[in-house]
Amino acid sequence: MEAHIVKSYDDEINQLNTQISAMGASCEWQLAKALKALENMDVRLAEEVIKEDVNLNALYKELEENAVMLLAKRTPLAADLRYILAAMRTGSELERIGDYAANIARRVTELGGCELTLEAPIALIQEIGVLARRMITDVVDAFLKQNVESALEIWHRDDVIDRKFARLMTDLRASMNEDTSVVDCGTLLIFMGRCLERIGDHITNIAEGIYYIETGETYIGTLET
Amino acid sequence: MQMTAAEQTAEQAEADMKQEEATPEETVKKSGKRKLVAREERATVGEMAVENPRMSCRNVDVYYNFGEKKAINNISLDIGRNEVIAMIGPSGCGKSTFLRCLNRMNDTIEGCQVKGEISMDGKNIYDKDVDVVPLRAQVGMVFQKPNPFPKSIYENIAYGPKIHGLVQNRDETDELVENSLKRAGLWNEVKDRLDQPGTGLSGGQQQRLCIARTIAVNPEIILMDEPCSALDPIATAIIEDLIDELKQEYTIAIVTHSMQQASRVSQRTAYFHLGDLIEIGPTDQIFLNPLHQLTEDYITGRFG
Repeated sequence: MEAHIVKSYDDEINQLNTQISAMGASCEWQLAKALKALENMDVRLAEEVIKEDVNLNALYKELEENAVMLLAKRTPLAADLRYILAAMRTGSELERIGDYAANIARRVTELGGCELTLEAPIALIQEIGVLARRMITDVVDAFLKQNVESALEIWHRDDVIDRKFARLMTDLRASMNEDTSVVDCGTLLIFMGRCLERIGDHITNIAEGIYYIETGETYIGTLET
Repeated sequence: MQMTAAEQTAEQAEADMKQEEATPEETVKKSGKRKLVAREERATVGEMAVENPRMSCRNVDVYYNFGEKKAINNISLDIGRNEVIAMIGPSGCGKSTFLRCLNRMNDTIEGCQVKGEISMDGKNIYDKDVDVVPLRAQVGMVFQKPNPFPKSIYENIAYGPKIHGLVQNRDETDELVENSLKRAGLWNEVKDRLDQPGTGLSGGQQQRLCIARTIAVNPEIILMDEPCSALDPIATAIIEDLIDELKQEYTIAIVTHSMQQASRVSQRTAYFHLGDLIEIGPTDQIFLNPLHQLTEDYITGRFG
């Protein structure tokens, strides 16, 4: 994209990109640490994650203020308008992803005692978590580079998360039927899996935003329409 | 005559090829990648025709200085009934020149030549038997700088209808003056001082007086050449509100440098660049998702 005639306009848009980048890093950090806390049953680390979410929310507020200011000052049109709308949406999606990471961390602090019997489901949660972490990094990268092909590829990765989450549900239900003493822990793990599944959905929303910037249309999961 | 099988196959293949030539919108849908029409491409992008147009322009060229300078180049564009069509583009792009063709205002410029066809309700307005005086009543014009006659408010409105023979007596004239001022949203502000000079009004009021004067001769089309560029935001808002009202009865073509104004008042927008009509389409689409790179550059304020 060519530069704007007014240079400060480009500076303001770059500022939004920097903020999205910072939010993406914060999200990824939160989720990585939440998963680490789960792995090591590390309550202190879990609490750090919960604290980081406050930081992420502040970043989002800043991003939103800047975007609103851009709308008011520059009355952007066409690709600029679509970009700013998508940046606001991306910020709000990342903020939600942070909430889910913090929720996972909160459950870690409640968990305890049953990790041995539920080793397999926990491993599956870690697997989903690794996928989700990579998707966060990649989708923020795709946003910053306006790479629509990459965005659509990430969009479809969510199917893998959904399938793994469905398996997690089946496995945990079976474990809980077998041994009712794990119901409390099992429920917490379902909750964590659900958080990861929702994170995947929010990432697809970001990918749709990238598609929207490029095309002005809503991506509905297939290009053959 | 029967076609051979080979000819039929060839024809089918050609038809298939034609179908495969995707429009920019289709390209976007198929690839997920937006592909704007390249800057070098000067053929008009978008649907220039409308069903049952009020005015219809085909292959219009305009030259100034007796053919020395070509101001607009092969423009074809329909203007629909009861629509507001906005013409945008950088200075010197030909939008005002084009607007002035629509009521033959360019006739007054020495050395200006108009080629091609411009018809209103099917009749070519450049035919030899067309009298420009009634034409300019039918296709009225409002200019950038309000230009009331140096006469009373009343006379500003009454003058046109009188010379066009639209009123027979004082009562009819009074009624027409009141009606026109009401439709231009100026009546309440001036009804007690109709005998005072039109030039004594504020800029926004003067512009509405000029609109009332245009309406008074019962036009079908109103051309507006940057009607708000000399007005403050409040007066501009009043004119824009008036345009919304007027489009119920009239067709309006407006040239404006304000893209926000074009996006607010018009249903279709035409983007001109160096004498070419680059893109024409629904206003919403032009401002959210234009198809031509030059349109995108202009409306987003980028270096082309």
